[in-house]
Amino acid sequence: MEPKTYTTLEAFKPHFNALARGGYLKIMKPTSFKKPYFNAFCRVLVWFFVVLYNLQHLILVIQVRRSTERIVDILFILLTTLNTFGKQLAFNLRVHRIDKIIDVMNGVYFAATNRYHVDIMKENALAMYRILRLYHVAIFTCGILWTIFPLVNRALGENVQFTAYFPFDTAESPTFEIVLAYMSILITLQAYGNVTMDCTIVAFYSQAKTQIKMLRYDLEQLGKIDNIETKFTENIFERSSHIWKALKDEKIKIHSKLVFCVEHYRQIVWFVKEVESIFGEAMTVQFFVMAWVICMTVYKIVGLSIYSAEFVSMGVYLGCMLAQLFIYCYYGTQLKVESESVNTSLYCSNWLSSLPKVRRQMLIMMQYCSKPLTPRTAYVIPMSLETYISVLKSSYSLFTLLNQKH
Amino acid sequence: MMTKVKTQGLVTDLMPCIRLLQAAGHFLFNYHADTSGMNMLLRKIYSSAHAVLIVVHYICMGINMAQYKDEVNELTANTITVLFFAHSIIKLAFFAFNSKSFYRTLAVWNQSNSHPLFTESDARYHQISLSKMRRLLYFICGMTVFSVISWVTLTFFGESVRMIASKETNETLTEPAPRLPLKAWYPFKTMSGGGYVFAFIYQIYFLLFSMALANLLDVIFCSWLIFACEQLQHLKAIMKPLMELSAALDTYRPNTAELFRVSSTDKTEKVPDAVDMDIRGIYSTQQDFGMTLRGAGGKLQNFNAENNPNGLTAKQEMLARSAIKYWVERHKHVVRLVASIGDTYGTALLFHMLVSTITLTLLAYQATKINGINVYAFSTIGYLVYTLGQVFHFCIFGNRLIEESSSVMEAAYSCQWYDGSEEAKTFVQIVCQQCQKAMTISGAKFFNVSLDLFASVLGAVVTYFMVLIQLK
Repeated sequence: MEPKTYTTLEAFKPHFNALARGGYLKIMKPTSFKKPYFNAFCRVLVWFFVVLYNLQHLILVIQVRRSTERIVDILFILLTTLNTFGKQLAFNLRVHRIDKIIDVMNGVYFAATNRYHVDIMKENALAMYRILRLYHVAIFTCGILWTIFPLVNRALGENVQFTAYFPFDTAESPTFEIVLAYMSILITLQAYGNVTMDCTIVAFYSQAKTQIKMLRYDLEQLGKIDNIETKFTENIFERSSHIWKALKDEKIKIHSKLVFCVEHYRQIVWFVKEVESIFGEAMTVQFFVMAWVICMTVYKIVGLSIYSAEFVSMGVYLGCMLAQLFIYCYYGTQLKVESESVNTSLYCSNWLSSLPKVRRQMLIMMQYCSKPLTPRTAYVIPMSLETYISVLKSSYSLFTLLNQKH
Repeated sequence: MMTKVKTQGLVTDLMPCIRLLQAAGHFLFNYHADTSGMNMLLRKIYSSAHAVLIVVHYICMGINMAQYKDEVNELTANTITVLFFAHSIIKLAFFAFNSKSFYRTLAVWNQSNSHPLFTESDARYHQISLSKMRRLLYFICGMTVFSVISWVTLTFFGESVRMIASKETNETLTEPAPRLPLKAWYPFKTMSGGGYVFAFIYQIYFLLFSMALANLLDVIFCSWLIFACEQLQHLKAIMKPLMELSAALDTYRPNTAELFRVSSTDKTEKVPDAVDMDIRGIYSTQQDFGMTLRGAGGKLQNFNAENNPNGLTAKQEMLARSAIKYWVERHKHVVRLVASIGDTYGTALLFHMLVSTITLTLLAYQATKINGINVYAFSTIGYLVYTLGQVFHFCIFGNRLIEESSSVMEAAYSCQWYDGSEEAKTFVQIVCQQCQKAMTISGAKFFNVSLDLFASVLGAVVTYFMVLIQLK
């Protein structure tokens, strides 16, 4: 049975589909979304409304610059949407480089060549798909919550202020609902775009990790004698000469396999560096926005009681931020750990039965691979679980300190 | 009582620990001689009974905590106790869900290679690791029993009261509570009489078994690490004779003891016949068969000098090459073992550190309220020492593994590699490259288990304590 060739880009189909549908990106090669005019129209619309939304918030910030309380409330929304806007810019302005990355992924080195490769790629694709769906569900839930809260507050008689500038009065009944709908739809759309773009960037890193896993499997199979087929004969001399000849062929094959592995690793390193540089600025902005949001949320939560609606919405928002940071740090760590194990895989290959000449080649590769691939944000902050823990520790310390002084 | 079960590898070494684990109620159902349905059912009932008893008591303690949640002092003390015993519940559940990977790690060392030159060294280090594992087991069992005894003894000192803050006068009143080691809610009266005795005995059982559950699993983990470290010691010890042996192949070396020992310990002077494939006396791995013929040695090696200057027999040459092969295969086996240990126990370590961090934070807060040598001081310090001791227990062994695995490079460098053949030199190169990165155990990739971790935990506790003292 001839297995259908499994392409590397299968893992990215749902992501690019979602981006195209949401109007955030043009239709890329892996998508199955085939309506280019609709997509172009969506994109124009999305750009217009996103810019409008951000401008409205900015105008209001300038208007109420005297009241710190109001500024903090508006900045919560504005900084997140600016963050999303930054990512949208990165994706759209650098779409040629993204195309190049996709071409590399379609190339020879990144393709699956045996059963094991296909299995781990499928595993990876499934994990990415699940994460994307999970985040979409979370986003839509949050969107509904954000719509309900102002309605509930209004029904309770409280004065609901919007965080955007409107040139007309929004307290009256039909205007209020329309404006609320506008705000909710736009914020849900931006959250959808934000989350999908995050998942796409994470999918790139996860693909690099999968490629390293495939490389490790290839390295472990280097020189393994079981792969050699020999004819069974009774005569020991004949059998040994078969083995000898097969081994000589294998010797040539080992060299070409090693060369393939070396090139494969170089491509993976290039891939990771390219992804890092394409999304570098967007990630830096994201990180600082996240740090600011966490500090401000902690600052606000300290004074509130556990059962107020505001506490719940702050809590949910904080949870979203932490979850966003978590997938980056988790997959960054996965990539780092896999790349640290490349040397071990080379060590576990059958290097003992090769000539010192071949061993020296393997040694050069081992030297190069001893430096792990650590994706970084802003050139200094590594995306690893240690970073995540130190962020959590610092926010907890801040919270404890502020609580004590309260 | 029961017939001896045939075991091999790590299971043989760890049998006392495994038996204790089974006795304490972990869901460990393998490694019995008698696997008839009736006996298995009895064992499952035994473990489930323990699990139920311990979980029920834990829930009683939780109910007590919920009852007194308005009192800050009571709440903090009860939270610490509840978190303290959370370790046992977590480890019990962790083992139950992960027993397959435990069995897999225990089976990793079932087939190990051997070499006639190095069996003596192998046996010696194996013996050392065995005695270290025993000593660790006795120590931890002793400490557990000592903790239970001191806990129960401490119960009889001081006033057995609860501190309740009176709402009107805003001062702390004392409310009489039963004189029991742990504060828990029972559906029957426990101030005196039958209920009191029953609750006391139940609590002693709970203390002993829950501490045993948690500590014994840590002992298994540390025993694995001890084993891996002693294997690495063995590998370091045989590096020098190995290099001397391989040096003998290409360069002239005066009579080294090894050469003579090689020829004298050979019981059969059988040179491998072209037709006769029976050389099992020398080799234990199938792949070595490819090396036997033509006398030139290794599978892909085509050394131009068919004759070596020392005039070793073909068998001696093969012995030397197979010695290197033994070393590398043994080292790869150790790498596999350590990877398996990390996969099996990493998540448990993560949960342990999580719970311990929260416990230590609260203990730092409690410690600021110590105002003299009294029961409160002893119990707080006892909790602190025990929790830090648990963390120290696995950190020290994790650290030893890191040190041993990175010192292999030193051993490789300090043998006389410059006299070795090209093969030997590239072997040393690759080994050095591999051992530059130390073998670490990571808690599900969040942190590495080493003394750095312990130092950071200790530092954090001391910092919290200092800050809280200042804020008072």
